[in-house]
Amino acid sequence: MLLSLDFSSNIPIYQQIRNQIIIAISEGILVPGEQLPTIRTLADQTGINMMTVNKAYQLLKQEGYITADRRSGAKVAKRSQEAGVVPASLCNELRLLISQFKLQGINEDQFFSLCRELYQKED
Amino acid sequence: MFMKIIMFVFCYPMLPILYFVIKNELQPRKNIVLGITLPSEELKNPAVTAIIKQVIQQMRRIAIIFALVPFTSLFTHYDSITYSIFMMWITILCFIFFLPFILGNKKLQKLKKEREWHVDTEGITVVDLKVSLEKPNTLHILWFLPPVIISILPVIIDIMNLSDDTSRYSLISTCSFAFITILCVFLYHISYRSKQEIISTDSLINQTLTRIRRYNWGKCLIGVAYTNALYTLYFWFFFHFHQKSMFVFLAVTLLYIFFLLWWVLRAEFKVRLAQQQLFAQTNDPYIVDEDCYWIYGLFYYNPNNKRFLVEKRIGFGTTCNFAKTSTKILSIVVILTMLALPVSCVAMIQSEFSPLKLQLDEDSVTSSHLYTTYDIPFDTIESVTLWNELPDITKENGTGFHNLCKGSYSVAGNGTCTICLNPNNNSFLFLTKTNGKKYVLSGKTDAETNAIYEQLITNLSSK
Repeated sequence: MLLSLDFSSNIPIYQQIRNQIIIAISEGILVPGEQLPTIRTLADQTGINMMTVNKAYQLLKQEGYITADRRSGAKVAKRSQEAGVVPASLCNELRLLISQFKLQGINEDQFFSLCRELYQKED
Repeated sequence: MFMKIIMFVFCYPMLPILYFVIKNELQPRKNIVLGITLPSEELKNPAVTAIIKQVIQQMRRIAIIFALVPFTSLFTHYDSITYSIFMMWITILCFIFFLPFILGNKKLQKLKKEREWHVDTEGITVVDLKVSLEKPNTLHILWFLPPVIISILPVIIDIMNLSDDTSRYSLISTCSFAFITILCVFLYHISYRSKQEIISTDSLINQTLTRIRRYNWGKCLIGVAYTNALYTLYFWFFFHFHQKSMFVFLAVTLLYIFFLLWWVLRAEFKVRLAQQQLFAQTNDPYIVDEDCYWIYGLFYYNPNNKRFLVEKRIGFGTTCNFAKTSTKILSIVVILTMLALPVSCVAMIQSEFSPLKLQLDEDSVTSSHLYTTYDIPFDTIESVTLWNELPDITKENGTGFHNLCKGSYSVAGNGTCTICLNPNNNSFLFLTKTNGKKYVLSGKTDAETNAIYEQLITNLSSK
């Protein structure tokens, strides 16, 4: 899996790492139980600060996408949540996203059509 | 003449080596030409090949002019002038071939902008997570122990014998060689932590190429460490015991340089070939465009990258990140070191053109040249002879120009003597001190030497 970091982007680097790992997990590129590089290795290879990588991993751990401990390092978490159960945090993110699309003038049908297209691309 | 031979043998090959190394860099390498990343389909674009051809033509012209410059040293018999010509030639040579390269880089950059040949990954830093997971298969540090020990041994022996002139003079060289061996150990571990090679979305291809690069450069550094260690040992033996066999020394030194180059070129061409083959094989090539971080394709400047060492785009090995303060300090040190070359030329010319002085003081005979003075009190002189011919002399430590010999020399039939003379003269003072130390001196002219001899004989007789 290729991790691309754009230093000129407004999105913080830790957020970029977090977003791309989530996308990779959802697309099946990273499978549950798969090892991730150590914080030091990833920081070394990307040339970024270890604290930045640590922040990304901590965020992913809090959101339940990865597990991390000192012995076995960081691994992609096994999905233990029941299918169909939507976490409250995701609902809030979706609400914000819907508001942004509404402000862009996108109606409900257009929004669902776009969602379907992107969802199928992920599959 | 000897100085000229040494300069030609050791310095002249730099020209073809630099020319072919930089010319080799004009071939596309991971879609990078003249330090500019281009889309694959534009690599053979006529506008691009025209710029490359222009750069080659300019380099060829420079090579022809610079090939002739060293021959001007044949028109002078002064060693310091020969040395100065070669040192200035080397200093300018280090930079001059990069001029057409930089001009070509700027033209290609402009062309890329005009034609909008953008690569999607412009300014993006890319890492393959699967390649990052792999633990590098480095050799145990014990493999480096033999060359480190062999290199440090002469240094320790010289430090233990600092009272000996020969040990003091050889210490600088042995320390330098030992430093090179230790640097190889350090660079070996750096090379295995260096950035991955990303040429495809297929992690297996990236992993293979990264392994090939790390393995070959690791092997190169081990080879250089062992070669350097053996040469350090030979150099120490030569300096202490075999200073007469100069041609053997030159031959061995050439062999040493040859092997160093061989290790480096071997690694570079193996990695280059693997890169080309794997890039051709991949179904999904991935081009990383980091042009915005490279100034003229030569100097890396990325304040977002905390790494000090990065892979060079042009040439072999690594370069430093100029966004870091430590690199700026290192650059100043390098520039100051390079400035030492022209300074050394001035010092050599001053040394060769300063006159010899031989004079009698109230109670001693003094021979001086520049900052060196040999003062021999009358009451320590056992005997003095005037020679009308200089026997064969071999330098042990000191200065040796065609019109000046100064320092510790082996004089045929008389062993080690301290000399300060013009070997082109016909009159020489041979003095033996009561403690056994011997001196061979001369003035600026034969008349001066003869006059000093007559006066010295008179002074010694009266005492």
